[in-house]
This record gives sequence, structure tokens and C-alpha cells, in this order.
Amino acid sequence: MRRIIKKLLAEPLAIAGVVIIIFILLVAIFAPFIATHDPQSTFPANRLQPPSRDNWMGTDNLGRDTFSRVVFGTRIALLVSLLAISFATLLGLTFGIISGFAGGKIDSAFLIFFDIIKSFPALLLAITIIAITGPSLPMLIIIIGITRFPAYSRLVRAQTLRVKGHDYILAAKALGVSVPRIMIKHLLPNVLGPVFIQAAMDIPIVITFEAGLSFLGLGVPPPTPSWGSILRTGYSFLRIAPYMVIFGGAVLMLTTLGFTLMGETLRDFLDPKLRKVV
Amino acid sequence: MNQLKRKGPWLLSFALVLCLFLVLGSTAVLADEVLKVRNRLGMDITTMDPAHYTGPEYAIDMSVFAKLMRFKPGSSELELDAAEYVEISDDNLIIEFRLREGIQFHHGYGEMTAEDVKFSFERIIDPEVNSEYAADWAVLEEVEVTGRYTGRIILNDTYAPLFVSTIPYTPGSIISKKAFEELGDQFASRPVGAGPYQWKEWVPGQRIVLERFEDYFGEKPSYRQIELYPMVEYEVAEMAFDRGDLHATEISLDSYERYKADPNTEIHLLSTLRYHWLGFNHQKEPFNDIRVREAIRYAVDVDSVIAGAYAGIPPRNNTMLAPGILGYWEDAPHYEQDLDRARQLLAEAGFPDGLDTQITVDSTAVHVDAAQIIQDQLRQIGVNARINVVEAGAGYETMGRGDPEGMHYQSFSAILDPGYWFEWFTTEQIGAWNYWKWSNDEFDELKVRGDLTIDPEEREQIYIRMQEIIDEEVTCIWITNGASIYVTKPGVDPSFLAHYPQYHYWTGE
Repeated sequence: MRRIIKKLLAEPLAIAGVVIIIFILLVAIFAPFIATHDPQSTFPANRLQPPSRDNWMGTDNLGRDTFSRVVFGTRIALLVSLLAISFATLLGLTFGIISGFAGGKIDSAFLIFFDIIKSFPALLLAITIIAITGPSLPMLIIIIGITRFPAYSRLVRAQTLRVKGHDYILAAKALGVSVPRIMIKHLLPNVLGPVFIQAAMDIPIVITFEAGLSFLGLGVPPPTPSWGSILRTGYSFLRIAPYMVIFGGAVLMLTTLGFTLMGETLRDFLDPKLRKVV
Repeated sequence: MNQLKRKGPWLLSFALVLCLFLVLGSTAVLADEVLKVRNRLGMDITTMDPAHYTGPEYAIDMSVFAKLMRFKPGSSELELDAAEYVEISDDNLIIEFRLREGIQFHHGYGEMTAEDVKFSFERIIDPEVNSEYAADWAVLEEVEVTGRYTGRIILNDTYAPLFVSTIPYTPGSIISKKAFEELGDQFASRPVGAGPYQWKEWVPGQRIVLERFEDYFGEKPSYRQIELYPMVEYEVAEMAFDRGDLHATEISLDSYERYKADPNTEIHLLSTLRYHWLGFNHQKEPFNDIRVREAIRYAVDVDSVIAGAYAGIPPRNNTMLAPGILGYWEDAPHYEQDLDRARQLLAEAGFPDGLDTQITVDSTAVHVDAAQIIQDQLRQIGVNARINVVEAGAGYETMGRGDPEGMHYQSFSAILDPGYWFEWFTTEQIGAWNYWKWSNDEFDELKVRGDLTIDPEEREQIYIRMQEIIDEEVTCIWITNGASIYVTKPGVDPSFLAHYPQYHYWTGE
């Protein structure tokens, strides 16, 4: 761990990524103290105002403070991405380990299942499900989780296939250790590394996916502030009040940049294939 | 220097030619040229069969089909169109007409006769056709053909809106019987009428092209060709307009000030025949209690809703019918926000600490915006309303056929005849268009009486009473009749039917 931190500190881009993520995390945690206004309070008489001392990023079409909405939007972006990826990881680990460990027909069946899910265009699948159920935060998390989990399953399956032939697994089998115990105690810790890398790389993808759904009006229901809904509103007023798009877009870009930089660095350190090179 | 002198005349000529191009490019759309407009609602058409229009077709209908009578351009007054005369019997049950001689249908389908009128009107009430407009011709017994150009429309009952929403409206479109029988199902995508423009081309999702009908019986149409483009997003249409790719389009309410300041744009601010409301589900708790509905009425600041969601452009209306429509209730009460009274009413109803509910809304931007402002206002009296957004096309399924609890925010379009406005509040519409799930016997009776009453003064009193009932029962909270803004390039001279920007009569200078 100390080695990793030392290496991280030697990488300027990694430092930049970590600083951005810490900053975003702090904004999300302390949002109520950072925001200057209630992000849901409407002031129609003060609509579409440019940045000012009172409204640092201007106001939206309902007179709400854009800065406060961007700040609270951080919570939604992180909440959706972390929960959705956790859900995807959980599904991916479960199915991946079972598939890889069982092998044979069960493995083939799982592979077909993963391919079926993966072959659906994620956005189309999300739009179809939300059109039926209506947009809601839990539904959004479930949909993103479902559309992302096949990638984790395949990754975990590949790792499981690699590890399951090792002597210590064969020894555990010979000693009569139960299959669930082998999976949890011996396989799981050895397949987690690449999963973390995948998760770190996925966070910016999920944040932009959520923003995209919110942009289409299918994300977090109003008036909950999310970066996608800020961009969507801003798009309608692009030429008379571009501030929403400028600030909402900048924060979205910064966050994805932070997670991408950190994910890339983590991959360099943790990926067994790249470890030797580093 | 010498070089510059030698090149001087060429540079000057080039500059002049460039200026000429810029001038031509930026100014008028000349008559005899091609007019490019955004189609109604920015949507593509689904069918050009007048028996089955869904909405985006209305603006085209007037160009392609002639009617016995039509509204004068820019007004709600009637004038003769294909008919030379129209006479109504004293008992209002027989309408005699005579067509102008020599009216030609498009694409060589021959002369219009009384048989075409009979065919066009009677097919609307044919159960096999299952027309969405059957109710508009519900009183039609038959069209009796008495000569090549003459006929009698025989009714089995009086129907006041006949000359407002039937004959001069889409159910009054006269189609070519011969063309319909020849083309069959293809008629829906190759309509044949006798209007000023004939059908040329439809590229689904891309454009609809109409061309001037040289044998049109009326005044010669201005443009050689009209192209209509589906562009749902205002932003996209406005950019196309700014680039000169469109000569006319509806714009968003928020763009009003920007275009108003542009000297190269003609701006047309129109009131619309539409009503916007915040409604309640009367059959479910807690809004089955009138005190809760009243509390909401006193908690909502309608002026703020208009300022925020409608850019402050359309005026507030305290009742349903728009000013100028027969039966407009000028003395309707004007409710101001009174939070203390609202809290008191809630407490009396058994909700001293407020309540949790929802506002169902379709994804139309203006509806969602209004719902968010109202939600914020209701927080002040302890009413926590979750906003339940459904996809725009699912509004009817959810709020009409479905039965969601709580409140909803919605708007309906209407027509010049007042009877149509009230149609959706009747008991028989519960489970369909009665989003309020509201029923009132007196209201239902008045609705029937209103449709059968011919005397305008008597009708006016009926409709005012119906609006009073809605107010007494707090069926919903009226917001506005809305507004539509159109912009056109100089030289384009659209005229809009009074209150009703669905119809355009495009002419040029």
C-alpha cells in the first residue's frame, strides 16, 4: 500500500485525479454548507439571471440558484454512480465466479446470458424500462447496474478460470472445503483487483450515462438537481442564458477527468499484466 | 499601388456581387418561391385522411382540402368556400348547399360534385371508418344529393357547433370520392382535395411538400411550393430560422424578447385555444375533500407559475373559456395566494401537519416547470408533493385511462366552439379524458343542453353556469390559456385563424 501511495505521489496526473476526486467528494458531503440557496426553491421573478454576487452561476428558468443545484447535483452524480457500480459489481462477482468455477454447460449458459444483456444498447434498454416504470432514483440505479454488470461478470469469470487451477484451490478442494467457502474465501480476494480497476474506470461512464438520461428527461425526477437535468434545462436557453450549460458541463467534465486519471493510474499499478512494466 | 489600381474594379465588382448576395439572402421570401416552415407542433404527420388526423396535420388540411365554408383568414368569421350558397332551415335541421361549378380536384381527379360532399361527410359517421371526428357529425342523418352541384345535409337534431367545429373544421374537409376509391389506403399518404395547394411529396421524418394548384378555384396561392419540416425542439427550429433554412416557425416563449429586438423578423404573438390547469383526483383521498382542494387553491400563486413556466407572456385566466369565446365568464373570481387560509383549511380537513401527495405531469417542458413551481409553493403549507413525470405520449394512458392519486398538471387544446371545451369534464369521460375523475349531474345536463341550444345568449348563460360549477366544486385551478409565438421572415404574410395558430393561410407580398 505504501508502495502504491509513493508511486501515486510521483505521478502528477494521478495527484491531479486524486485532488479532483477529493474535492468532489467534499463538495458532495458538505453540500448543504456550501450551497448558497435551497436548490429547489423557485423565484420566477429572478429567472435566467447571469452570474452575480447573489447567484454565482446565475439562475435557471424557474429562478433557482444554479450554483446550489450544481453543488447538490454532485451528490446525485456520486450516489447514482457508486450505488449503480456497486450493484453491477455484486452481480458481476456472483455470476462471474459461479460461471468460471462451475465451467461446462453452466458456464456456456451464463456466457450466453451475459452476451444477451450486453447486446442490448444500454441507452435503449434504459429508455424502454423507464418508459414503462417511470423515472426514479432506485430504478435508475438498477438499470445502470443491469446494463453494466456483464462486463464485470466476464472479467471475474476470466480471473476465476485463471485462479481456479492454482494449487491452493486444488488443495482446498482436496481437503473437502465447501464450494461456497472456496468461492468466498479463496477465489474472491484474488479476483477483486481487476474489478476495482474496472469500477474506477466505470464511474465517469456512469456519471455521464446518468447525465444523459437526465438530459432526456428520464433520469432523476424533478426537482432533484442533477447535472444532466441542469444541462437539459440549459440547452433550452443556450442562446439567452448559456451559464447553465457552461457551469454544468464544466463540473461534469472535471469529475469525469478526475475519475479517469485515477482509474488509469490504478490500472497501471494493480493490473497484473501491466505491473511488471511499471 | 499600381497593382491595387488594376485590381480595384475587380475588387469593387466582387464586393458589389457579395453585397447583392447578402442582401438577397437576408431579406424577403419572395412570392412565387418556395416557402419553408416548421410543421405544426414540430411533428411529422401520421395520416392525411381527414377522418383520422392526430394534430400535426391541421395546418396542412386548410391548404389541401376545400370545405363548404371556411373561416376568413385571420378571423373567426365564416365565408363561403367551395359552396356558392349555404342555407339553413328555420328548425336548423336541414342545410341546403350549392357548390360552385367547375371546382377541380388535384391531380386530374375531375370536378367536385355534391356526391363528393355526401361521400366525405357520411364516411365520418360510418362505424367502419371509426373516425375520431364522428362526434362532430353525430347529428348527421344523411347528405341528400339533389343535383350535380346541389344537396341537402339532413340532421336528426340541432347541433350548435356545426358551423364552428364541424363544417369549417377538419370534419368538413371535402375529399375526392373517385380518388379515395381508386387509391384506397394510399389516400392517407396521397390526399386529393381541391384546396390551393396539392400534395407533392412526403418523406417521413424529413419533409412534406405541397405545390401550388394552378387550377385552384379561388385566389391564386402565393407560393410555388410549401415545404413543411418536422422539428420538435424549438431550439433546433430557431437555429434553422436564424440560418434562413426556415422562413417561419413557432418559437419558445423565452425567445420572444430576442426576436422582438430583431428588425429582420416579424413576430406574431397569439393567444391560444388551450386551457392549462392544476387538477385533483376527486375520487381518492385526500382530494375528495373540498377543503383540501380549496387549501391548494389558496396555496398556489398562479401569477408566479405564469412568470416562471410561461416566461410571463400569456395572461392569467381565472376560468376555463378564453376571452372572446362565447360563454367567457368575465366575473370569475380571482384567487390570490393566502397561506394562512390554506393552512386553516388543511387543518379543518384533518391535516394540521400537512400531507404527502404527488403531482402527475407529462414531460412537456412547460408542464414540468409549472409543476415544480407549484410543488415549491405547496411546501409552504406542509404539502409535500412528489413530481411523477410520465412520457409525453403516455399522458392520456396515465391520467385519462389510468387513475393516479393526488394532483396533475396538464393542458388541453380546444376549438372555437365552447361546447368542446367542457366535453372532457362530463361523467361519461371518466376513464377517458376526464382527468379529474369528477362527476356532477347538473354539469352533465347543462353540457347536453348547451350543444342543442342554438340561441347564443341562452348558450352563453349555460356555459357561464358550467364554469361556476367548476369553481364552486374546485374541480381544478385555472392557470392560463397560454400563448404561441410565431416568427416569419419579412415578406411572408401568414394569417392565423382567430385564437388558433393551428391554421395558416400563407401568402407573400
